[in-house]
Amino acid sequence: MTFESALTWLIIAVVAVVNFLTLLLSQTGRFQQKQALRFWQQVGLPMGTDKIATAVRRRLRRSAAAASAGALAGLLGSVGILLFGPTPLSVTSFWLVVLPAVLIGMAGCDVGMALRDTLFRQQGDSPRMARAVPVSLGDYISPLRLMLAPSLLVLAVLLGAAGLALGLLGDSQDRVLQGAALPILLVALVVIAGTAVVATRVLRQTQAVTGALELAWDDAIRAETFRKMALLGATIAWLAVSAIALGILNGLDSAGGTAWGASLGSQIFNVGYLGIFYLFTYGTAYNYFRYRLWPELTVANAITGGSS
Amino acid sequence: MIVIEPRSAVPPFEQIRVQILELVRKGNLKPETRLPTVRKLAADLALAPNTVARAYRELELNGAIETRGRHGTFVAAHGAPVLRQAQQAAENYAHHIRALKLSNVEAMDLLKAALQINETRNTLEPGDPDSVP
Repeated sequence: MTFESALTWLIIAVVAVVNFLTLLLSQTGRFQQKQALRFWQQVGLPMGTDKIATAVRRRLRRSAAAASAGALAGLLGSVGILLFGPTPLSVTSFWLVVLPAVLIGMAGCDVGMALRDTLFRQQGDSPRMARAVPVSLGDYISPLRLMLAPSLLVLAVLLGAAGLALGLLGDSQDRVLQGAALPILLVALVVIAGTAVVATRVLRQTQAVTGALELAWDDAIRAETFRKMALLGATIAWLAVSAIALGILNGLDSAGGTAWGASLGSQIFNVGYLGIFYLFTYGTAYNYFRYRLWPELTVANAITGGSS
Repeated sequence: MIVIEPRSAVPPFEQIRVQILELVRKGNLKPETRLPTVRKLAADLALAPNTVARAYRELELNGAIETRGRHGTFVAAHGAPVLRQAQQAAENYAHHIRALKLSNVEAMDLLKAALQINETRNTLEPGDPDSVP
């Protein structure tokens, strides 16, 4: 076993252990309490009643468990691909096979759970509330975050076309076709199309609530689902951009006898991942919906009603 | 927001109808605003789709909302209900004129005369147009 393959297996083992521990920890009361508090702070809605607090906590626990289980399933799938696939094991395989599989597994299970679960349940004689105006995806996630994944996908397609053109000219020696770039691009296409379909289904889901604050919290959970889906789409699309661009840079390096192109490209793409992570974690990543749908509902201004 | 009180004596379709009318009247639902689909609203309010469909149908008959095929249901423009009622009155008038076997010219003359008389009366009693017999 080479050093590189040993390092890859070590990284895979660490990812597996971390997800397994998260799965176990998500069952403890302390973890759930911390998770609910953090989400409350990120969202910035008043908690209101015990019923809401319990429902949010239950939902976050189930979401964390589903995400960890999905990540483990994705990891298992990627290990199968690495063991029985044609590509030799390397750190690059972690980026191109393990990372997408884990992210897809994680988001897939989480969203699957979100589609089956409802935050609140209808009770016999209690009042029922619904919006008089339908909402759209743009009410839950900012235009920049919403359009990032499709824009990156378009960039990846354009880069792929440029790579193929360069390959035909002989400059990149068909590296784009030889590498895992095109399968990753295909995966990105499927993921982004899939998230668009799932987002429509989530929007059609019933919001069984008895009051404005319950509806606001249901919106918070929806917004979190959309944020995760947009993050998955953007990450996979960036992965496709990185893989194709690195293929082109490798080709140009080998044609020109240099080595700086690919190494500089790797650094830029790593910074890109951090940028995407930052965009979907800070700013209005968690509470954009509150500004759009519930501008009057803040922690200081508790149960006051909602938008119509 | 639309709230349904299951314990209320008012039937759910009437609760929906009244609340949507109130939202339109207060300006919370602007003209051309799209309303939720019958299925979605029924699911959110835990009602049968027929109940919501009936509320929408009655609102549409009142001229408060209009259905545009696959595009959905929209709040009608503010002037539309008035225009629709006037159109209905004109149709009724035309029906009576046909039944009385009067010509179009006679019908128009009668209408012009009626409008003129009404206008004169309103000028004489500007504060209380409803008191005109």
